[in-house]
Amino acid sequence: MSSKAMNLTLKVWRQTGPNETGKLATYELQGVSPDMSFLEMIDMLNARLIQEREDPIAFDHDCREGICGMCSMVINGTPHGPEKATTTCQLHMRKFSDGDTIVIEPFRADAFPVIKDLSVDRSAFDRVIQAGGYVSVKTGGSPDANATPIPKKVADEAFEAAACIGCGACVAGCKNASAMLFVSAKVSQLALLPQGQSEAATRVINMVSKMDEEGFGNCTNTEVCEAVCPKEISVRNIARMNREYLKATVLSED
Amino acid sequence: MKWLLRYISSSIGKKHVMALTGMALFGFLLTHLAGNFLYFLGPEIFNKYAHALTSSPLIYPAEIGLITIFVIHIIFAFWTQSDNKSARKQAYAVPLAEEHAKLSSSFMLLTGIWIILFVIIHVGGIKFGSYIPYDLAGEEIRDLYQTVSTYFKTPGTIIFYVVSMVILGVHLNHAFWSAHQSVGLSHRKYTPILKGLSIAIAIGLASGFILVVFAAALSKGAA
Repeated sequence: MSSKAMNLTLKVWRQTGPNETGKLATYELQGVSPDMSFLEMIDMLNARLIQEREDPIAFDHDCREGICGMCSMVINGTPHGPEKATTTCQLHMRKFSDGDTIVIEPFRADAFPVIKDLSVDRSAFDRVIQAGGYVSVKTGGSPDANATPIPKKVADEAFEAAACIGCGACVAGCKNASAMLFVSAKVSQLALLPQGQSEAATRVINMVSKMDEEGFGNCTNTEVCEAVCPKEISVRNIARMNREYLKATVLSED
Repeated sequence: MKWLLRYISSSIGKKHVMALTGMALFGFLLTHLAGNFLYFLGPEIFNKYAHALTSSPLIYPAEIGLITIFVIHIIFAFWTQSDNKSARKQAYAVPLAEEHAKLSSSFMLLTGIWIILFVIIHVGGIKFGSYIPYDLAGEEIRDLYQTVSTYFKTPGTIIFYVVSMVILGVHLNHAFWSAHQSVGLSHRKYTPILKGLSIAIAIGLASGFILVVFAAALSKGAA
């Protein structure tokens, strides 16, 4: 770990509250270790800001191991930064070079209002899930593992969709701020499995209605969502949701 | 009928309408190109074909249908565009990096607007262009062959058509596979083929139309 410490210029979005106008503030940060994670680098800056009696930068984080989906920031124009299939917390400073200028902005979408600085309110996703991203089951004794046969390929496909951590990078990276990749992953993980069938039609209609109501944009098939997704969720899920939606609309009796 | 309204005003419904009207317009382009190729077979066949088309009792219903589909495609394009713009009112300070790599869909509205203008000029210049009589075994029909041959003698017109067809190609390149994706036709095996086919179709259709323009430009018809 003898790699040289880096000096960076950070341009960070500072916004004091949801209804305030924000702006980019510039900070010079010296002695950043290449082994730090991106969030540790911001921790370092925040420690300094607190010492200088300034307001530290608000940002979301929780697990810091790439699975909770909290760390939401757009780094140099890419949600979660330059490394593929990686959340911000798993991004390391060795991906940057000494002397770099890094612009850090919050995820931008009208459906994700800024709370403060880099922290945005993504509860629109929770409301989409509440609209249908579940299966209604009577709890009881756990069913036998092999009682419902599911082909391995189908199980894998459902699992890949279920890998979505709901971070919102798809919305942040889409030029239309569309939530189709997120919603389609949630629709798909259930639509693929037998347990999801009984509510399949109402689920897709209710979740899409909620998604539209929350003010996310439409899909124009740029596939940027797939490119920026830290879990590499495929746009095949969007096609599946489009299919499910058509099927549900045509076949439903109301 | 409430369900229908809900469906076509939903984000996915709008995409379906865009895709289906787009596919219909693509079908029209194919028949149009096939008709254009008759130009290579000389005035008699080309004029007979044009006469058969325009004198058919089905021409008005067909034209109304085509215009309706075209207008729906345009209305829904602007509708989705306005949804998309209002989904992110505060823009990023740094433009989205991945977006630069995938410009195809960003051009859809611009290329689409160009195509609208092109269609207006094209219909005005050819369909409602000069009427030259042609004698078909005693019957007088329109000499569309001559109209086309004369029309493409000015360099400005030729350049405008070539540019427009390239723009049409750019539009189709994204449109063709995207329409399939929008209606849910995606497959591990076939989607990569479909994307390749999109490029082939874009190049094929654009160069097909351009070929006819060049043929007309080089024809011996009166300048």
